[in-house]
Amino acid sequence: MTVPLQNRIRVFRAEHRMSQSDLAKAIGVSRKTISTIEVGRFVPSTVIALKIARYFKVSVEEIFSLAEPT
Amino acid sequence: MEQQYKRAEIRDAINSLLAFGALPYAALLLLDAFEAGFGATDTIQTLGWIAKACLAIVVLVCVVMIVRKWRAGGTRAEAAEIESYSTSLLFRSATVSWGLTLVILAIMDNRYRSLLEVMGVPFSRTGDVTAALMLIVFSLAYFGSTFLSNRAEARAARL
Repeated sequence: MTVPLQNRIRVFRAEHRMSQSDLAKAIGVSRKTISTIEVGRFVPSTVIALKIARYFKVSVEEIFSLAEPT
Repeated sequence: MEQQYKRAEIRDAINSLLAFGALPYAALLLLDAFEAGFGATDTIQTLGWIAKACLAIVVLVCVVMIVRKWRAGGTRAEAAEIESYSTSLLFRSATVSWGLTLVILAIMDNRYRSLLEVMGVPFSRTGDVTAALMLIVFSLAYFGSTFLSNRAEARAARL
């Protein structure tokens, strides 16, 4: 059973007035990696997820969540 | 992190170059196989030179990128730590091309050899054609997925 990973990176970026490139620079990955995570095409590793959460000073669960199975 | 970002961007560009470079290399393998069957016709030679020129440009740009990545600093351990969508896509495309080629070969079985004979490719060049098939599938899988992700990003940007 595949459960899609939802994320709120876009919301957090908007709150911090950041572009995808800004976030990519902040955590040391490429812009494409951030954009594909945002649209759900790339499931990030635990390390990237933790880096993003640490950058926004929130828990991983506040950014990433599993979609309810339908 | 700025340096790591630069290296990640360069690595993405190198990955795309590798996927693109697979196409002229596949063309060279196919042209070699056809040359063995049909002889060195003008068309085959012209296409061969175009493929070689494309491959040379890809290799040259790749070398420049590798030097830039090396100049961006950082240790090998840090470089290995960088994760990216592009790298995962490259590995996935390699897996797809390997699997699909095996499936095609298994399905076609003896017909593969007959098909090559019809196309004028000698049996000794079967390996070249198979490798070319794998490279083409690899490249198409990479750029196909990149196209789909670009489309998804554009759709998300419109929302």
